[in-house]
Amino acid sequence: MMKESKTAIAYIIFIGVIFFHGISLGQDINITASIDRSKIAVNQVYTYTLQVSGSKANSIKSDPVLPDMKEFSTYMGSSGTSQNIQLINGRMSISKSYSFNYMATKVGTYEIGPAKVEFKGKSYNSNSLTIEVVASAAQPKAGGSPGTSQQSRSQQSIDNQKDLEDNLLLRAFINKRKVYVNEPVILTYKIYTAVTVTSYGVSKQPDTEGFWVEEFEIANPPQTTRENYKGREYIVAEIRKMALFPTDAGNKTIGPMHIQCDVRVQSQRRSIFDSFFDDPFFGRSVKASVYAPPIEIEVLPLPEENKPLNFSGLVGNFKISANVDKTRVKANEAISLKVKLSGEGNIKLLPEPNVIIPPQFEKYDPRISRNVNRSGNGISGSKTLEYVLIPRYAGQHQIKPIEFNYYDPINAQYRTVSTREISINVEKGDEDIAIAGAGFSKEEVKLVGQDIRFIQRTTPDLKRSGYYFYKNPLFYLGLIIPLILLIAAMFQRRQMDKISENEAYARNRRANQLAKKRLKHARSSLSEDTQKEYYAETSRALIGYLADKLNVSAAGVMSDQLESMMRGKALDEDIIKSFMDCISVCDYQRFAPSNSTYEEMSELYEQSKIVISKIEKSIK
Amino acid sequence: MSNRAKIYILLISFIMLFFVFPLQADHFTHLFEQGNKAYEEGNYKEAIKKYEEILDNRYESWELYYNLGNSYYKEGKIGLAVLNYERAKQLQPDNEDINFNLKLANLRVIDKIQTPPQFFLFEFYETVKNIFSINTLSVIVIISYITLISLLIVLIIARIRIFRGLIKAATYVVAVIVILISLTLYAKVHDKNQKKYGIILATRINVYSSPDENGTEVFSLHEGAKFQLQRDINEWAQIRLSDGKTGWLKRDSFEII
Repeated sequence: MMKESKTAIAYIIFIGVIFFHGISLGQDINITASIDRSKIAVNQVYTYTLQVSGSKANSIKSDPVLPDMKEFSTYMGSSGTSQNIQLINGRMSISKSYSFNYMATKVGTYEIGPAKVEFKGKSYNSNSLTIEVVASAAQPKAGGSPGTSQQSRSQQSIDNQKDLEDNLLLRAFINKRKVYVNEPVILTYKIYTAVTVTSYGVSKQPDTEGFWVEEFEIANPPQTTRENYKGREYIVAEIRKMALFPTDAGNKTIGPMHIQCDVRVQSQRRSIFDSFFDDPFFGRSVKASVYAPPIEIEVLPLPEENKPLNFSGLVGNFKISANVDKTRVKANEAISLKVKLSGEGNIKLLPEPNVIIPPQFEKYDPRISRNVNRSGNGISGSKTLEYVLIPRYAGQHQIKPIEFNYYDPINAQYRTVSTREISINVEKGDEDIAIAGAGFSKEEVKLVGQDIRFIQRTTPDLKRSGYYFYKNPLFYLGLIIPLILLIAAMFQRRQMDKISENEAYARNRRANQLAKKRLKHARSSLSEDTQKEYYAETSRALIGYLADKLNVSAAGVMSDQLESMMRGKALDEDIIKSFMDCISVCDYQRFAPSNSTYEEMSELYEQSKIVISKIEKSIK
Repeated sequence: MSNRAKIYILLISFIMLFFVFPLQADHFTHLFEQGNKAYEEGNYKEAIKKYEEILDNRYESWELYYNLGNSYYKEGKIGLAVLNYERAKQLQPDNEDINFNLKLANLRVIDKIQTPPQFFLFEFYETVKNIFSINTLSVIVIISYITLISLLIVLIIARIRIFRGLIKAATYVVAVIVILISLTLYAKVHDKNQKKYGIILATRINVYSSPDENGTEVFSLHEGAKFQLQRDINEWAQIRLSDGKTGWLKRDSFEII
C-alpha cells in the first residue's frame, strides 16, 4: 500500500513536471495586439501593433499573419519593427513589436480578429480588438487654443470629414505600368479640390524603394488648372512629379502618399475672437488628411537577345557627339576635345565613354559637366567631357570614333551610337628639340653640351654612286692576269727542267764512249817518256766519265767531292775504293813523279777500264 | 732571263693600273666647296642643296655624306643626319669624325634600342670587318694577291739558293693574308647585298604585327631609329630591331642606308 502510494506520488510528480514544463514552454510566446485609436474617422490612419514577448521571441523568423481587415480598412504598409530586450532578476525577457498602418474606409463598428504567429511548428494567436469607424470630419485648426484636448479635436474633425470627402482628392498618375529596368516611370501627384486649400504638407512620403528617383521641379505655388472629374469641377494642382528608374526587375509597389491640407471652410462665426484669429475672410481653416493609394508597377528585365557585351545599362534615347576646337595645330600646343552625351534617360548614370586617344597625344583627365533638365515630360540632359590633349609629334593623327550603347524601349532594341572619326593635322612645333632632350639619360647628358665635329674640307674623291672596286673589270683582270702569269711560269719551269734532263741523259749515254776514247788516247802515251801526260789523261778520263755520268761540271771537281757524289748514288764501296785508288795514283804520279814501269802504267790502265765498266753497270 | 724581265714589267704596269682611278668630277668638287662655304656661313639649307645636287648626279664620297649629315643635324633633321652619317660610315668605316657625329646624332634619337651582348669572337669579327671599306678591302686583296703570285713565280723560276727559305716563309704568310682578306671581303659584300639597314625619317611611326594598318600595333619608332630590313611587300616592309623585335611598317616612312 505504502509502496503503491509512493509510486502514485512519483507518477503525479513526474506528470506534473511534464505538465508545468509544457505550460512554461507555452508561456514562452505571448502575443498582444493593440490599435492606437479605437475610434477613428473614415480616411484616417490607425496603427495596428503586435507585440510578441517571451524569452524566445527573438528567434521568430516568420512574419505574423495579420487578421483580415479589408472590409473596413486598407493596408498602408508596415511602419517598422522594434525589439526590446530586458534582463530582470536574471531572466531575460524579449519583446518584439510589429506595427502596421491601416486606413479606415468604411463607417461602422468592426472586430479585428486575432493575428497569428508561427513558431516551431505551433501557431500562437493574439487577442481580438474592436474598432469603431465614424464618418469623416474636417479637423478644426487648433490655432490659439492650446488647451483644446485631443479628444475634442478629433471629434470636430469627424464632424467635418464628410463634407470634404468629395471636395478634396489626391490622385497619383503614372505614364506606364510596364517598364524595363532603368526605364523611367513618371509619377505625378495631383490635388483635386473644390475647396480652397491654403497650404499643404506631406505627412507621409511615398515609399520608392527599388527606384532611383529624380524629382521634377514644381512651381511654388503650384499652377492650377480646371478639370472635370466624376461629374464635378475641380481645381487641379500638380504638387509632385518624379521620374522613377527601377533598379531591378520584378513587381514593385510605390507606397501611398499622405498629405495634410489646410482647407478653408465657410462657416458661421461663433465668436468675435474666432473670426479674429482664424479667418479674416469669413472662413474657418480646418486640417484635412488625404492620401493617394499605392501603385503597382511591373518591371521587366532587359532582353538578353542581342545584348552588347559592354552594355552601359542605360535605357532611353541618347546621342553622342565629339568635336575639337582646332584640327590644325602645332606640336606641343593644346587642343580641347569635347565629348557630349545627351538624351533622355538617367543622365546621372551616364558612363564615361571610352575615348581612345592616339599615343602621340598627352591626355589629361577630363573636366566633366552635367546638365539635367527635369522640367519637361521626362528627364533629359547631357554630360560633357572636356579633354585637354597635347600632341607631341607632328603628323596626321586620328581620334577613333567613340562609341556607346543603350537600350531603346520604344523600338525595343539595343542601339550603339558613335561619333565620327576626328582627324588632327599636327605640324612640327617650335619646341620639338626641347622635348626630345627630355629623353636623355644621365650618362648621355654629359654629351649634350657638345656639338658635332666640323665638316671635311679636303677635296673629296668623288666616285660614281654605288661604285665598288670589286665590280670593276680591273679587279678581275688583277685576279686573272697574275694567275695566267703563274701558269706561264710553271710552264716555263717545266720546259727548262725537260731541257736539263735531256742533257743529263745524253751525257750519261756518252760517258762510256768518251771514257774509252780518253783512255785510248792515254794508252797512246803509254811510255816511260810521256808518263806525266799518260797519268793526266787517265785522270781526266776517269773524272770526265764520272762528271758526265752524274751530270755535273767536270771542271774544278775535287776528288773528295767525287767520293761523296758516288756515295750519293749508292755505289758499291769496293767500286768507290778502286776508283779513288786510280785517281790517287794518277794524282800522285802527276804531281810527284817517280819512275814507274811500263807494267805499272798498264796495270792502272786495266784497272781504270774495269772500274769504269763496273760503274757503267751500276749507274744506268 | 728575258722571261723574268717581261714578268716584272707586266706586274709593275698592273699595279700602276689600280692607282689610276677615273677622276672626272671637277664640277662636282666645285659644288662641294660651295656647299662647305654655305655651311661655314651657317646657311645649312643652301649647303644641303649643294651637297644633294652632287648626289643627284650620282657622285658620292664619304666626305660628302659626312658634311651633308652635319648640315641636316644643324637643321634639326636627325633622321636624315643619321642616315647620311651611316652612309659615310659605309664608305669610310673607321673614321673618328663620322663615329663621333653619328653617336651624337643618335643621342637625339628617341628610341633607345638595346643590343643584346654577343659572343666576343663574333664581336671581334664584326670589328675587324668594319675596319676597312669594301673598296679598300678590294684593293688590299688585289695587292696581296699579286704579291703572292709574284713570290710564287720567283720561287718557281729563279734559281736563288741563298734566301730561298726566307722567300718560302714570306709566301706562306702572304697566302694566309690573301685568304683571310678575301673571306672578309666576301662577307662584307654578302652583308651589303643581304643585310639592308634602314633609318626612320618620319617623326613617329607605328609598327604593326602584319602589313596592314588595322593590324595590332606592336611598337612605335621615332625619327633616326635604325633597323634591319627583312623583306618588302608592296608598300610595306618587315623590319627587325637589334634587340630582336620585328614588325611591319610603311615603306614611305624610312630610307635604306
